[in-house]
Amino acid sequence: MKNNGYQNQYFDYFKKISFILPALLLLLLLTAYPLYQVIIMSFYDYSNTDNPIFAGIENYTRFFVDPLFWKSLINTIIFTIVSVAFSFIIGMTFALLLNQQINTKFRAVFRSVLIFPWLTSSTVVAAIFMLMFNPFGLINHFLSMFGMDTLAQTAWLGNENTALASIIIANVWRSFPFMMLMLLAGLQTIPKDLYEAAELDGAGFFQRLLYITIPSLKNIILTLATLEFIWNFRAFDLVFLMTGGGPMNSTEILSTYIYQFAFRKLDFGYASATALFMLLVMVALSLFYVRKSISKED
Amino acid sequence: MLQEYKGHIYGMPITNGNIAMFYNKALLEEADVEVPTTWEEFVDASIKLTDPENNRYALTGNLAVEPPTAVIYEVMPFIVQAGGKILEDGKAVFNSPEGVKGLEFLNDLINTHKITTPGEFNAGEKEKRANFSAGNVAFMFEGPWGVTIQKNLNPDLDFGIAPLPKGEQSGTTVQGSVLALTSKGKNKEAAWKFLEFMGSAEGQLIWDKATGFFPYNTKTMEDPLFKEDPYLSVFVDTFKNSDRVEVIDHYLPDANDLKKEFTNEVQNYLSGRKSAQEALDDAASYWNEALGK
Repeated sequence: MKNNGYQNQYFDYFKKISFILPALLLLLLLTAYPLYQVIIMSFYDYSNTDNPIFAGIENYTRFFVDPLFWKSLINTIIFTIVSVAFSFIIGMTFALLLNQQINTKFRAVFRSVLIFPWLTSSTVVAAIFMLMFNPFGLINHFLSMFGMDTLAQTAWLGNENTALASIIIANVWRSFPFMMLMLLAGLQTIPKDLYEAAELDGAGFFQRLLYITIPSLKNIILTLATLEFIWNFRAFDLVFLMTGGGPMNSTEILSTYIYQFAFRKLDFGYASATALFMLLVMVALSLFYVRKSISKED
Repeated sequence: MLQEYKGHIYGMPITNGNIAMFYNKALLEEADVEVPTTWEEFVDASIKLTDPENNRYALTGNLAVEPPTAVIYEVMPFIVQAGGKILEDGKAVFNSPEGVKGLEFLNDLINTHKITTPGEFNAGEKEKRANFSAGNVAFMFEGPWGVTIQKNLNPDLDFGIAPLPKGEQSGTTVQGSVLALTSKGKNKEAAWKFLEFMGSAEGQLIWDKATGFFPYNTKTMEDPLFKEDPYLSVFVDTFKNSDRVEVIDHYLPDANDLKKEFTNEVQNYLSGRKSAQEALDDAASYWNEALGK
């Protein structure tokens, strides 16, 4: 090219921009604009949907004093932490099992079978588990087979003490395969000779797990944990489909709480304010993830 | 959204459905019980019909909060039959001694006599209809729309329909749909003409013949389509002859939200967290706040 260095650099810069411009415009249109709308709406009172009135920070002060909001927040945190912990433990166990020196065909078959729950649409997962947790369902059938007759009377989703746990079980069932797949991919990159050397030194299974496997997978585990935290924190589908937040709000999580205000009570201002609070928590979690992935690139 | 006219919002009632009792003829015959007509008879029959060993119950316990549709016809009729009222002069008045009595009757059915299917806090209309068509339950409280639904779910099911059992008085609740004009409509004249036609006996008959719905216009009910149908005639009869017929849905500003709140309070009572009076008081104050807006 005949251009001098300055122009060349300028052209280069412009070329780079033009490559990301379509994506940037889409992002602005589909993310930034709705976000801007939500922020504006959160300052308005929507009692009359046609003529919202400016309400200052009233929507924000409202949710701080609503006990149901705090209950939803606590339920969301329980749901998230327990779901992530259990899907990690189960995913890790299966990944370790699949990583054994086994027939490759055997491994391929089991990997496909175990990935099934993750491929299943959430409406299907909800329907399956609602049938199983039904008072006349499979779970109570097994319980009564083993003689636990009083326990077999439980309406798992209709009891405020068991409903949230039941949904978490369904959620873990659906989300552990993703963990398993990612961890298995990580496990396969760990050089075999590390284990051989450790074995020669007399390291047992747990020592190998603790000193070789987990440190080698540190980055994958952190990335997975952050992603799963974000995904579970904003979960909506299983809870809404299986209990709708009931009984007696015992499974109300932030997303169903917001849904209730936005689409049932048509209180868009309040729902927006609560949604923004939820967004802030997620942004904090995402920043952690973004920082992690940037430091990895360096 | 709706605009007020002289402080009120108006709508034209198009379809209607009062609640009656569906019963499974084979199950009643097997247990050798007559179709109950009073609360006492209903309890006696239900106890005879319930056999948890064989997954057989008298009634589906359904009080799910999502969607919260069941309260209007699973709970409120009891309050009406106990002699109470749900709404009066645009206010919720169900937190009366009669309201308490109605809820206590429901509590007896669920917790004392245990004649309802377990898991009542997470079962809804879908479960109710499935249980009835599968022959798991002998009774079902349902509106006229349920006739077609049952025939589709299980064409072989031999069922009958009778008025709801009588407490202090005979009573039922009504829910249905209204048509309204929107302030932003482009052709209000034409819309009003359509509304008028849909409110007329003739218009509703055409609509009901095509869709299987039940009319609001009492003149339409005189048509042989309803009068001579063994099922639908029961609804015509109870709509006209019950001691009290409460139309509820048409007057609720935010029906789903109010029903959900009511369901929550009924759950609070049935699980022992609140007394019947407290639960009804809390629900009523929530309703009145919304109704007063």
